[in-house]
Amino acid sequence: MTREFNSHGFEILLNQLGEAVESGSRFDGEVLRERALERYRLLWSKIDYFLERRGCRDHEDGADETIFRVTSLLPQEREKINSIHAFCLGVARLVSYEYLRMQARIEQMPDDYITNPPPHLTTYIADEPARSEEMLEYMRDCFGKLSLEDQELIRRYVGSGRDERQKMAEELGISLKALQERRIFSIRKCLRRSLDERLGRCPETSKRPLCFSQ
Amino acid sequence: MKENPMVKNEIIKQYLLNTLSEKDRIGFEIQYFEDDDLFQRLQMMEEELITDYVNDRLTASDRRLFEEHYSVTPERRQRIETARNWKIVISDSRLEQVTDSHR
Repeated sequence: MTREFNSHGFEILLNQLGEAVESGSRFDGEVLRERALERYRLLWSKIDYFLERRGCRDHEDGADETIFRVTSLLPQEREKINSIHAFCLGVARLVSYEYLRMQARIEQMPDDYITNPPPHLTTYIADEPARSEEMLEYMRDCFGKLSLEDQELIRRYVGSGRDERQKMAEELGISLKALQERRIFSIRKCLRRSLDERLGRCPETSKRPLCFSQ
Repeated sequence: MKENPMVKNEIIKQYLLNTLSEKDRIGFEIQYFEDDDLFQRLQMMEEELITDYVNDRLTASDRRLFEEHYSVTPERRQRIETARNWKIVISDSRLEQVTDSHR
């Protein structure tokens, strides 16, 4: 049986996410919608992350399932919901229990079912050479694309302990926290994106929020 | 959104190493769902943890916890392998830099 995605529920979700940040702000409708979509993508990432931490192998599928259920429930339940994030976490928790039960059942199946599980129950791990010279070459290319300043920063950061990192932050006139959260985190993100592009993967290792019509 | 200073890095590390009690774990999950900055800190600390692991900078007990509780899925092992590759790339680039400066 095919289930239908509740686009009305999805609009309610977007409205609630938009309201969570924009109360009192004056933006036009398009800007508000784009911000709500950004908030939605972040919410999806949090659900995906939570499910992965809870041991769900097919966490991306679980995140889609969570959004599917949230959007189905929202039209009837919205009046009772105090926090949309807490509500989504609650639904994700229920999804995690179901997925983990399903995983446990699969593990108790006969061997051939475990070695050849149905595709929708497996987590796809990209078939990439783990440490081949080719992969290292791709990574060298990506590293070489960083600005010289960023290359030097990451070289020093990775090769140093806490005291040296503190010194680096002082030299840059920022706190250690700002160095880690703004500079290093964004350089790593840039390297990841560049490598994903080089390998022809979807950005951010196939993190894919549930498709929706805009 | 302001950072939640109540959430200490130690709690985040314990969450990543899977050593929080179930009650604290649930509490922490609620916090990062509500707080975007905390979620970013969590992701950042996960990267730091992996980097420290591949660079042998974890304490013996954290290293043991990391191996027992963190590197348990193929996906995470792949992330660790990628971090090892970055370590090689960065170290090679450091060598190149030294060689260039001596020319």
